[in-house]
Amino acid sequence: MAEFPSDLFFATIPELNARLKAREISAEDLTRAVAARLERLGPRYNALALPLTEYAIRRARDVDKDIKRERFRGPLQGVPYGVKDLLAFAGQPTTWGAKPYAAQVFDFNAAVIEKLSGVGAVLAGKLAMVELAGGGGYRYPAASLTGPGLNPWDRGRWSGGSSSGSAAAVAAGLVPFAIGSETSGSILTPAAYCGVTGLRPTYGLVSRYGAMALSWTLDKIGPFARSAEDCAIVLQAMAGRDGRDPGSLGKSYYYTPQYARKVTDLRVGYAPVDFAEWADPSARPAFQAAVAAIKELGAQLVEIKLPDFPYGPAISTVIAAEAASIFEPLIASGKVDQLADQKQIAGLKAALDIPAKDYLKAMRVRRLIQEAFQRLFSTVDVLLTPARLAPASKIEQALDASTRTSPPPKDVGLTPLIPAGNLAGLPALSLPCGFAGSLPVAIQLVGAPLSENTLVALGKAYQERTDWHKRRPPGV
Amino acid sequence: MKITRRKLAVSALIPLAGAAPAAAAQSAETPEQLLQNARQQTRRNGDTLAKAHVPIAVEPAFQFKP
Repeated sequence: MAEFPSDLFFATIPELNARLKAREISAEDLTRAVAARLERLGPRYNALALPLTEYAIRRARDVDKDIKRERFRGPLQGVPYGVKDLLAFAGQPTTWGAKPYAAQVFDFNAAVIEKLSGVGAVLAGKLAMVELAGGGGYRYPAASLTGPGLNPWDRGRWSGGSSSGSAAAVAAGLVPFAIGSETSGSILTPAAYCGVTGLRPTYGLVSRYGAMALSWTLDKIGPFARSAEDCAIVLQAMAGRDGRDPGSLGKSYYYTPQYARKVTDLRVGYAPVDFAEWADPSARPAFQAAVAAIKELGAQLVEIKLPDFPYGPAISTVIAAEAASIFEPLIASGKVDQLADQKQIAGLKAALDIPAKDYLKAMRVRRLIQEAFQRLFSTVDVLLTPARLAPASKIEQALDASTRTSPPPKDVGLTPLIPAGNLAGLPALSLPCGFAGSLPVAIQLVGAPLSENTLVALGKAYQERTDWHKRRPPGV
Repeated sequence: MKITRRKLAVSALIPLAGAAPAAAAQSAETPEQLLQNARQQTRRNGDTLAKAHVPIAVEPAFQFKP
């Protein structure tokens, strides 16, 4: 097998594609190297749920045959990747990160895996996650079958949830890209904590067929990668109509940078209070530099306020009610008690008692939220705020314990944007924007439904001006 | 319990994929206490939603059409 320079493990998708097409490296050699690294270093971050090395090598050999015959299938051909362990992969365990499902095996592949396989991407392993994607509400990062997700920047810190392994694996150079999912924050949070780029697509753009359901009306599947452009390339391969997913929008996504709106034409809504007062003091310089950089790109920054809605109670009620219905057999059987997190167990049990009137009220409030965001996006094109207000928390720290040392500001700014954006089905892009001490922090860009190309265009312009997305954790 | 916008914003910041109870809990709670807390939180969410004004013609957001 060829010797691989460490740079190759941090190469972007276009860089890998160019070397594969030019046959400077073979898909088999690349896959062997990536799979070996994933098996060796994945456990160091509790990021690996299941290696698929033998399968991956067989697939890579097929890809090499195609490349030899000049049957090119696009930029992902021969590129290894990993998926969150909530996606079904035929004949292998799909644990959903939870002990009660440790022996679960499906006989079909998730739509996303089918789609990526169709363009020649090579599945190298399944990646760790918070149990049941956090359904019920967990208190500790240890709420996972594989233990707490450890952050490649500091193993004493959490890698974020619930797509913990997907973000950590990309950050540590274990895979060039990975697939995760978001119901409310599960792509943006780990992407921010691990210093990688993450894209939450518009609701319904990517099929959830074969994915664990946590909340039918909120679940989305999206990529983690080295850059905004890489995320767009992966999204293009994954998106599209799927009659097997009742939430499918029936739309495709094409990454078309040549038709993207000019950054100088974009109106970017933001709230200075997010960056100056809500943000953790250690992260403020990085966030404020990011706002300045967006301004220097020529975007027009506009101060705005979010519409006033009870975002937290609405999203908590929707997720809890839908999750309780989905996991009712688990709860009724008593096997729910096998979960690692006691608060999560209690949350799932309590959710069975949510009255229909509360769920329906939350869904009606949600309709108003969607309409309010439609109006908001007639005044701005993109919303900008910190992806998370602080860097990754300590691994032993309770997630519901406030670490604020000062009273919260009176103005909420755009801080509820994660629940708000998920309730409205909006796409979001998390971009690394610097460090708080030795830990990465990130901004998020949020746009109107199906505005992924606008978000990617702004993200790409930002990443051409900065190099935060190219930084590597120590020791990898 | 009075729910303010500030409290709602803080609850929305908790990095959870699932439901995000606002109150910090003691580490030594029994499963029964945790269940009681979770039920209280569920009720508080319901109470907050009950106060939200929704015009009678507004239907639930079962279908998402951008």
